[in-house]
Amino acid sequence: MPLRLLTPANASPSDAALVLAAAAGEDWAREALFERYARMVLGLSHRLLGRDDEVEDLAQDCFVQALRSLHTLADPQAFGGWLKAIVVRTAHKLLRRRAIATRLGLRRRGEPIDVDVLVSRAAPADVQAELRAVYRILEDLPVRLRMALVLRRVEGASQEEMAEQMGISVSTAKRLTRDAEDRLEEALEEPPKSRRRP
Amino acid sequence: MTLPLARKLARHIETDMQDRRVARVWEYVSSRRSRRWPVWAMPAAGGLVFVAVVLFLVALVVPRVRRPSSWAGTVIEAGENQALTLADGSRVVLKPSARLRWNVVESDRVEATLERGEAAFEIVHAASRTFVVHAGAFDVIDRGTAFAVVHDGDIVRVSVSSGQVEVRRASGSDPGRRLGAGESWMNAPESLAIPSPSGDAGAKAPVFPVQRAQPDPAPQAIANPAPPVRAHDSVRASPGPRELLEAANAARVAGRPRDAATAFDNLRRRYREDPRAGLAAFELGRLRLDAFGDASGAVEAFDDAIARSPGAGFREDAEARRVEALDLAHDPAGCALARRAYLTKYPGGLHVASVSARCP
Repeated sequence: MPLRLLTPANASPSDAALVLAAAAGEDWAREALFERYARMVLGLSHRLLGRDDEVEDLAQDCFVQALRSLHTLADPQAFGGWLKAIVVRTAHKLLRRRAIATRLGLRRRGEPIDVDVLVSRAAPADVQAELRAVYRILEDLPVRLRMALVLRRVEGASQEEMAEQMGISVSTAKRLTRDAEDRLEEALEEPPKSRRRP
Repeated sequence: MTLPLARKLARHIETDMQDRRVARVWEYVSSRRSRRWPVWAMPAAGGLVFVAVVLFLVALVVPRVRRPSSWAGTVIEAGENQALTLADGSRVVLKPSARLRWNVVESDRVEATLERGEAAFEIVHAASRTFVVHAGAFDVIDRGTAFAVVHDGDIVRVSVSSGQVEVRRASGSDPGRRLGAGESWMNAPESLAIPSPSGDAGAKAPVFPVQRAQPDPAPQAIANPAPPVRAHDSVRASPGPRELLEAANAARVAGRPRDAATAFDNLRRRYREDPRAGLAAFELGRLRLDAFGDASGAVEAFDDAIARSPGAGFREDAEARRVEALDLAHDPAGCALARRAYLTKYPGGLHVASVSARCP
């Protein structure tokens, strides 16, 4: 189906208006919500997973979930933050399933994240160094720590935002942040080495 | 090295966000969006659930229509071993010349009359069903068990292999007697009771008080009955085979297995030609094995029982117990032979499981 942005008027409707219309069954509103947030979801999915091959699947699942449960959204204007939390939790579930399958021997351990492809060459040197360190250690971290590290160091989320998006308490978010940053600090002190497994 | 403050670095991660990719995702999302159910769907589903609940309750409350079984009234006369299997898996094995009549075969009650001969019952017990075997003047009521009933003229004998049965008079309000696994019981026609030395003619029959002073009915099935013995004479006269059998049963029921064994032993030795000698030998073997732990003595008695009464109803039981006795007597070769003989002869026998477990 070709993507078309249908709006009832020239003015761009608010998130709340789109959510209410979409919840009432208006297809144009659903499509508008998707168009407004598709790139945010694709980007966040990519950064959380660290690789591109499952990004579309994750984004699709998140939008399907969100559009099916619009009626549960208490504050329609908060659609963006709510959708972001859906992405974070769905990615968390995906990564946890993958980790369990790997531990049970049902799935081969994936290749290390290719930071050269991931990180923009135009980024300043210190940013490149930090992002390379983050994504170098990401695959070796427990899933919750991994999510915390990306949200904190890549997304720049506050601990309150992390807590809300991950569905945990602020104190847990603080502990996860501390542990994740300790691991990142260690990684930054270590010289980069080849992590490719035989 | 100290980490710099957290900052938003997301814009330095390159993600493919071309329109083509976004359109691909939308195509999938739009095809998977939730369908709205028509307004009538919920009431219709509720109605279906309601109907299902009503039908379920009706099925519970309305009594099932009883259909008489086609078995009721059927008489089965066995020329040789004949096995019947009821719908619930219960088995009945009729021994040669046995005659069994099915009186009632319903889901909550089964009644059969063993008109003559021997039948073995392996009943799947159901609390909601009564299973009764009428044999002469007695009723044998299943309590979840395998048991055998012999009805030979006036003599009724019940042996329980597993579980319990209740034996009681068909008429009267006697509470009856429960028999457990390994127990057997035989009725005692009053005319055969031995009076006490004090001349008290009220000596009780082993299980139930029975009418006294009835003439010996001299069952046709028992050949060469001993000459009639007057009650008072029996104290002084040497006891005949019936008296010995009766005394043995009475002693066993009274908890005097030694006396019972002596009486059985006397019967089989003194009246070798009497048809009850084989039964006495069998009962002696059981006592030796079960009460005294004398496996070798039991083997001898079972051998004797089989030799004297090759066609008796207890033959299969005797052969099965002989296997057990040989095993306990540490005679593996004899046990293996006897075991093979039993399993060959009675492939669907009542004791196949227990015999198979011996001297493998």
